[in-house]
Amino acid sequence: VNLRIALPAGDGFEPALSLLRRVRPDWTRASEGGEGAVVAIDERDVGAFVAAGALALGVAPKDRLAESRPRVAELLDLRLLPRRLVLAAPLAVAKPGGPAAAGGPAARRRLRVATSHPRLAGEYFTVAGERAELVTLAGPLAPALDAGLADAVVGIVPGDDVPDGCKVEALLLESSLRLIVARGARVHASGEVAALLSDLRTALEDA
Amino acid sequence: VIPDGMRDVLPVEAAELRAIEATLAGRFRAYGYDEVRTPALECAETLEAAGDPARAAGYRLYDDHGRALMLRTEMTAPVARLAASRLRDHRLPLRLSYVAESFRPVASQGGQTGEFVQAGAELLGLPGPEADAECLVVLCDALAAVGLPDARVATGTLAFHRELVAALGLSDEDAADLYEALADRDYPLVEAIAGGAGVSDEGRRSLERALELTGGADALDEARRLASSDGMEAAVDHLVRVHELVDDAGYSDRLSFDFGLLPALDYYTGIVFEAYAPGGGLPLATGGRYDDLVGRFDWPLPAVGLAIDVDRVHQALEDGPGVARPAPVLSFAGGLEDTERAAELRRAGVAVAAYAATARDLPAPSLRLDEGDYVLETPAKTVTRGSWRDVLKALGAR
Repeated sequence: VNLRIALPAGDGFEPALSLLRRVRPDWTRASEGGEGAVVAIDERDVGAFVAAGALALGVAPKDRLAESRPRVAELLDLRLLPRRLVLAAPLAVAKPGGPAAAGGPAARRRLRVATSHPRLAGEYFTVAGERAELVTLAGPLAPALDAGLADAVVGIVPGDDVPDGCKVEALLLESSLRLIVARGARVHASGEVAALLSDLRTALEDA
Repeated sequence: VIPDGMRDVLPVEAAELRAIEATLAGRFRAYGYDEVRTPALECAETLEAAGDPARAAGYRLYDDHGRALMLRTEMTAPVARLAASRLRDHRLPLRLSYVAESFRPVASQGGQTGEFVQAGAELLGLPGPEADAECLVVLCDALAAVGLPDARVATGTLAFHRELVAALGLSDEDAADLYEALADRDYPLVEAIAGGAGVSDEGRRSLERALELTGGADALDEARRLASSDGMEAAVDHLVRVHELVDDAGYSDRLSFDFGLLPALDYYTGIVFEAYAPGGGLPLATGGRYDDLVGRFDWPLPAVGLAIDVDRVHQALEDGPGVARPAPVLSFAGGLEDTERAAELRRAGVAVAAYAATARDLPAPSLRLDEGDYVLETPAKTVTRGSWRDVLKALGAR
């Protein structure tokens, strides 16, 4: 069975490829339209490719998997690309108790929040019992604060970083890269998948 | 405009889907499963009895008395409801089948449309590995009959995991979280929950090894090595017996075992399975034993069943071996006027669409009368010209 793997294009690609090369040095990157086991896919879409079985395996950030909830099996935390999904508000308006607390933006009837993760953000505000108007953005969130589109953001920050000029009000999720497999591939290529999983576990323990 | 998640099906695909449904219904019949129909609208509590919040979140409406109704989100609970309310005086076991639409609100990337057709079979009133094996054999047979002999059925058992999780000594809350993570197949989360709950290294290793345990009959040997209680041993013995019975029926090469397989539905109690086509990500079929469900309708009865997703079978055929095309319809120019000849063709087994004698450029195969001769043109542009007898011969009419 020839397995193919989707790696997240962008910051996660090189660390994921580097780990993969340690256990499968012969897996080459697919050239455009050509052969190759490793395919670069937008990190938001890796789950969709793997869920449909178009690619048997994938590596994607946990926050993207939690947001899109593809029907895959999540096998291993690769402990790469650590990052956090946080609720952050500009320092000028951040108050103890969060952006919806008394004063500042709390005087508004509702909190406007720009986010890259609308599902997780929505669930957070529902559980918190806060009323928030979510604005879903595909690009960077900072301009939404600068331009007055939003009072706060729910977005990704690398490691323990804090967005410039902001205070982190809440941590929604700690994320890292995860190895995922198409549920069908777990059946039709169980031996290959199990071997890769075992090799990756060993490589991570050695590291 | 049609609602989100719904779709129209055009003639070619509709004919292909109908052929798949007919084949599946025929295979269920071959094992003695009688077809039943249930209403598309059920009382909400019937579907909520299945206990899956995702499925309970279906399309709801209210009748004149304010009673909550739901479009059915699956067929197992309605069939259990039907059996408990209408078939109590029938001889057991009951073998029931259906081909029916169900409805669920769509989720992005869910890989499922809002309306989907399932062909299913339910065996009620029979416990034991023999019934489980019959269900797996019916599934393998049905998938082969529709043209997917390479589909594989991943089989697991909840009985093994219940014992395994019980041995970890988790709190009820941690155990519930763990089962949820297992159903989501989020194995790093399973490990994190076990780690956070202070499970011993040995317990965590057992759990990890069990969840990664997949493969053929050799996986059963490994599961036996992992079994640390009589209950786990019994669960493995059960699967071994199921495997033997499926093997005797000639289908064991379609079976694989997956001890990481735990569905979200809380009505499953024993064996669980999912079928996949090669290269497919989502299951063609799901099923398992649900000994507690019929009892929720006041008739405690062991049961096992399967449901095949007809659209996914169609997609798998398109992606793989190809979809069997139904016999083409003959376009008969003049058939509207010459009903005698058109009827003769139909009696001889030829599907005929009748057109006026003046109609031109009809879809092939086509038949028309030209200066006293019949002219038959095939899709490959082969033309037969001759008498009516020649036409019947060329069409291979019965």
